[in-house]
Amino acid sequence: MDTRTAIELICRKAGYDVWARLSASITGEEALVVSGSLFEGIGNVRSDLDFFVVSSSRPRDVPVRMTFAGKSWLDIEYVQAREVEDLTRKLATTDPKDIARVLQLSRPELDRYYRLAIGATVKGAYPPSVVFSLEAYRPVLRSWAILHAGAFSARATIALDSGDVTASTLYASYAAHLCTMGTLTDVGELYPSPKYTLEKAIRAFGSDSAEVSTIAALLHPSDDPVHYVRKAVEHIDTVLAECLSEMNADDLMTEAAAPIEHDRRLYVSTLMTRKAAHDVLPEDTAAIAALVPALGPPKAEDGQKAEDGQKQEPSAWQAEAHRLVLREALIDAGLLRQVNHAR
Amino acid sequence: MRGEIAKAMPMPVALRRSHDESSGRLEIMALMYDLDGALKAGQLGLARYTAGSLIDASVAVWLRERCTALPAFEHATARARVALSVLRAVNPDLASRVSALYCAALPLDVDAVTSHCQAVLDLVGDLTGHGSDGLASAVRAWAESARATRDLCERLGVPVGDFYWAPPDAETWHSDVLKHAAMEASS
Repeated sequence: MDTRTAIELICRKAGYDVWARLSASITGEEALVVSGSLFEGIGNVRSDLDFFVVSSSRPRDVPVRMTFAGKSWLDIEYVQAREVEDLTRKLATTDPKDIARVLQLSRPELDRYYRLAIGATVKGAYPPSVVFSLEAYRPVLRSWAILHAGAFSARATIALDSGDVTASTLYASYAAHLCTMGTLTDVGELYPSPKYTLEKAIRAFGSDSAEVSTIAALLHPSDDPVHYVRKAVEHIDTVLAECLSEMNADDLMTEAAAPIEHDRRLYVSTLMTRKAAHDVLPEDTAAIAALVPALGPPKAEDGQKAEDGQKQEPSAWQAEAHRLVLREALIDAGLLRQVNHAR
Repeated sequence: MRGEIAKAMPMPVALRRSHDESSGRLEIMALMYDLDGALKAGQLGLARYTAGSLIDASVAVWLRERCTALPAFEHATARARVALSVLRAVNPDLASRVSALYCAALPLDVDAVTSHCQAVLDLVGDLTGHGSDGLASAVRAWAESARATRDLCERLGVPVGDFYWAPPDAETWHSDVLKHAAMEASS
């Protein structure tokens, strides 16, 4: 979308002359960028319009402003230019085959990078050091999404084994969204929000295509939830196996950074409180115990087995992705130390 | 309820709780916009995903208003899973209703998705106190919670920023938001 169209879009959405007010508030050291799902071409009449004010000067009094506009609203987010420089540098130096580096990126970081990268700069300019590359971003998003899909797929399997069908369905559906987000990068769909997964597939393949039917069935249960979970994890396992076979996953050496005195459940709760950047959940306890010997061997979970009585174990690929994601969470939280791994 | 909390606990704790409640109400409002837009545009994938997010956000608000705050998570599904475990302990009947919606068969069919979304909106109305007045109530609820948080900030001497740009002819930001809520209610 060109700048003129962007401004026209702003004018149509705003309930009063927000554009004049916003434009007047921008100083010479700032860039005004407009972005969001409408720019992506996938939004609707209720989608908000996202503005970013990228500033080299001091932070504003609030990080975000908003105002209603017609049937939706405008978001104005203030971002420091230094943060954007750090983010672009981080992404540019991330090898998509280096698992440890890929997992250092969070979903909000990938989301912000993409929104800024596709946005139109309607006033001012970025510092010259800020360079976005969707070519570099695409394989990183692919690896990141499929690895996390593997972790959630393993959680789905473990939850199913303990008889918690609801948790298992939640995990499997989310894992399917992440996995599809990763594979859709192959056809140029790079928007990193799981909520638009099916709409991206429709855009890529057409609403009546076989691909869309398959993806739609993968994303949500359409029959028995247990059957759905099994089909979803089977699919994700195949995609994950191919992805991991291309990545550097040789070095899993870790050691505990400090004695851990809590029992396992308290430990997991403590970690959730300390570190929000990764999601450490009840289904992760066995993998954590395997990574941190001080915790001892995993105990059998209480609860019923899956309906047919078969014990469901994560596949080798799921278990590996699960451990990789958790390992990074524990390292980030300072509870695990990496050994013999150049970061 | 907010007044009672403020009297019963240290002010900074009450401020944190009030801020979290306001954030939760904002999240629900944003999701209500997403769901409405998705259904109107025939974006069934967005509608299916957003319906699940609305359940999760509403359960989180319900628990928070009963003094059970959940940790922040990078992945929303993680919060949904933890929240459901807590809900099972607090209110098993409600947890069963939530579970049934999470596990509901949801084929890619306009009627099926619309019907599911209506069931979700009924649940959200019960959990949040919005009733059947959906989006307009969500806007009003966010406006009231945001105003309560700002009032608390002023009592504590915490600076409050100009977070909402109201049109020049609006009396206050709050009245402008309520005007939009009224427009939604009448549309």
